[in-house]
Amino acid sequence: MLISLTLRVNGASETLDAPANELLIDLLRGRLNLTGTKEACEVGECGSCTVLLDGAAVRSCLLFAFDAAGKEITTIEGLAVDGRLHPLQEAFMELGAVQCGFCIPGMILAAKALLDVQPRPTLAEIKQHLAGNLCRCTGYAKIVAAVQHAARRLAAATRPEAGAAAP
Amino acid sequence: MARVREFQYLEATSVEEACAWLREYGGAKVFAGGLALTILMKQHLFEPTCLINIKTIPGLDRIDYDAATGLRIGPLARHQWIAESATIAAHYPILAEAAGHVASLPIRRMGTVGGSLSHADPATDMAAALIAAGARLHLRSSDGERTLPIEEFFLDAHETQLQPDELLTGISVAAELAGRSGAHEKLRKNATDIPIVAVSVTVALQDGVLREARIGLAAAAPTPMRCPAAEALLRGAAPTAASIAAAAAQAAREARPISDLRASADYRRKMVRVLARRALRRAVAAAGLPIPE
Repeated sequence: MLISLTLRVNGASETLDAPANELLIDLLRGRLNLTGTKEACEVGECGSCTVLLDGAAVRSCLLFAFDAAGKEITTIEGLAVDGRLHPLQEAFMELGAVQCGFCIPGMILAAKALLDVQPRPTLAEIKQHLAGNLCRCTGYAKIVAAVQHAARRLAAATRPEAGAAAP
Repeated sequence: MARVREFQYLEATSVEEACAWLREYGGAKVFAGGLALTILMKQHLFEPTCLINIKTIPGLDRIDYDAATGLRIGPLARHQWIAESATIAAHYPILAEAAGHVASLPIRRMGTVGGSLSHADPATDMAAALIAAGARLHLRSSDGERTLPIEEFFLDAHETQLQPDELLTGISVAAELAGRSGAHEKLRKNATDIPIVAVSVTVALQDGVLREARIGLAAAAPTPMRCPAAEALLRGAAPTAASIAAAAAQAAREARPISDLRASADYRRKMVRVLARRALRRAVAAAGLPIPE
């Protein structure tokens, strides 16, 4: 059974026919070649498959494609603008928050979902928002530090007087 | 083999339509948050031939409170909404506390309370909390509606009173059960795990004695369960260290735990006693009564 879907992926409108039993992660990876979204545990515990659905972090490995109809999807490929990395991506690189890297797309998207609604998160809020994303290299301290670093940088960039005071 | 077996997909626009389709399409299953069900389908453990999406029915996700009629939670309310609801925190705080303990934030945002109860995993925080809150469930079929106390809904692990043509349409808690202090104590392996054991309690105090206590357990039996004998020990009793300890010990005797990869039955039973004592003490303290030793 095919279902006709229209959804927005990283800002571009996609209209396609999806089998009812197609999972969103398979549509993203297999049909749109957005392979930055990873699948590890397959049961919603690890967060590797995190994408943003209308801005909220969701598990794309447990979401049927039909459930994303009419929604805005953001994957890790949608974060860079005109070849410039998102401040979260830069912070993860600068602070060495990436080890094997498999969990990082999910980590960064979970963090983005937080920073988009709470630009000045507490440590507890960061930990709560990342609690559903597992890193098996055990690098959580640097990941949390990178999110804090990105939050500070984003806050500085959006503070009006920061631009005015620049030489 | 396909990753998920093919199925027919229907979008219901009303409860009546969903009930009619459940009767018409044998092998159909209700689709709500799509977490537990999708996992079973991916693992080929359960393969419905038809999914009926009820998220297309307006209004089933509402959370309503009225001082005269009490609380009504639609089956599609997400766990995180309950955790964040100021209304629920004010009148039925045990439900907000327990909802915040469920899995991770994305799962709390995707997962529906009605779906979780219908899935009927014994290790369900919200089921224990709803038992402690005194919730009733509303089930609808094309023949009409019936309601029952939540503790009677669960028959066995993943088995409920729901007939194949029935839909869980609401969860209600009576107005006279509002305002009770509660506490949810959960033992778990990590921040996002299901409970090894969880104990939910609410207490109603009057003139320094316990007018009523309700105790719900998760992961302590093949179903979420209530502890009537432990509750009876507390009815009319002063909330002392001794009465609370006795009730906690009774709750542990009532539990029917199993051994699995998370814990042995013996350990679970011991932890029911520990967590019940902690939960009762915290609920009484939250009601503003110091516990004499």
